[in-house]
Amino acid sequence: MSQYYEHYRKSSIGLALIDSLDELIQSGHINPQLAMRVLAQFDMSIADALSTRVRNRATFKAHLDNYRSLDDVWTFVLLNPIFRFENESIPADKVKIVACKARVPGET
Amino acid sequence: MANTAVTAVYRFVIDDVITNVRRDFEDMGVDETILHELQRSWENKIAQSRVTAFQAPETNAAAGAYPFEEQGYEQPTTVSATIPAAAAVAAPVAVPAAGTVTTTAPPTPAALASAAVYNYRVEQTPAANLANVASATLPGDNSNVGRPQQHVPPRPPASGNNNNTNNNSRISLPGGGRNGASGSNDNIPQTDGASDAVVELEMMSTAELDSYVEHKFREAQETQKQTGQAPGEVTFTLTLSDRAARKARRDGLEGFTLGQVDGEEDEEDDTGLGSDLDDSDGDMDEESDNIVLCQYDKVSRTKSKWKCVLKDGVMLINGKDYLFHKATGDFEW
Repeated sequence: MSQYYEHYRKSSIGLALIDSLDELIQSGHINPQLAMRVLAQFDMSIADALSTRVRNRATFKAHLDNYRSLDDVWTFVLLNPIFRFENESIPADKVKIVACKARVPGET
Repeated sequence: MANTAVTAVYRFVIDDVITNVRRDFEDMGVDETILHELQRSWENKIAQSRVTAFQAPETNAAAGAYPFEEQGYEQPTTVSATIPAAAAVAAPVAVPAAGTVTTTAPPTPAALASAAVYNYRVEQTPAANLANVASATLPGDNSNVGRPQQHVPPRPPASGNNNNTNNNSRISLPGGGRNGASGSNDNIPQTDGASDAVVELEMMSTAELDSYVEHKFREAQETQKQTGQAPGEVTFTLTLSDRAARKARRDGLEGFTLGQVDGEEDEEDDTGLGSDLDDSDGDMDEESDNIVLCQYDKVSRTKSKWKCVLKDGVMLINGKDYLFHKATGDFEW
């Protein structure tokens, strides 16, 4: 189980799950161990979904404001990025990218 | 286009998670309605965040038909609670902030397990400018600490019971310390038991708390041996951490106001369950709502020009979620 990244928990869907689990813990309906188990399952499910159910490509250009590489995790802060999907172009004033090293198949 | 695909993927993730944790819920003896509630709550939160055109399949009618109150709910599992420091902090939050309040703790599992032994008292101490203080009053008889399942239920305060061997009768009898212990007339009457320690444990970790409590109990037992007098009550004061307090406030608990004790409101998220990727480190963590979470195949730089090849990304840009299988980025530093 440990071969799945946890950083997708910070996505909208992950944070929503964390909030829901938090509430169930606070009200005493589940214990934290069960919540951690659910999150571990989320790590697997989202990784699976992204790698097998998402097919679209994107390109983006930006000014790189700041960067960091630590323990195989790259963090970029981009200014004025424009993300281009096939038929859609999305500008933003600022974006943070957190990228973990892609898994080589077979490697744990 | 990119955005509409998101809904289907999220649907898949939710179903996959719920399906795969069903067994864990069963194993832990958690009722399946809780699993359904988790799914409903999760879907609602996604729908409310409006990051995608996501709609929870069941509308709020389900929520109405499902009064999700902890009142009377009994967790079927036995929860092994050590000194329930965390529970003591979490449990009493839901009291109105009005002077000194005495309340029974809400039935969180730990509280259920330990309610037989501990009285939680929540009091407001505005003078200390601390939000809420939860005092766990622990009975002097401590031989069962950490093994609450072995505790006998509290006996009714036996009035006129002068038998000091039965310490349980002293629970919530603050005056018990002087109730005619045989031959103790030469002692100065102590009105609240022999070892009354009020300590602020705000900054202690769980382990520290445990050892502190254990130490106090030993002390109390020593006293008891030496003097033949029952130790009465040992009082611990647990202060709500700022984070827990903020969480409580965010959850809209009634009448819960806070004195801010650590300066300006800061921006950290208080989910409590996040990964450790959010260590603060200078302006890299300047909070920007737009975030891309992904994996990288390649990152390269030539002079000030960077190229990166990313995959399996979840993006939140301007309040909308997008997903990508592959993305290539060019940026200039």
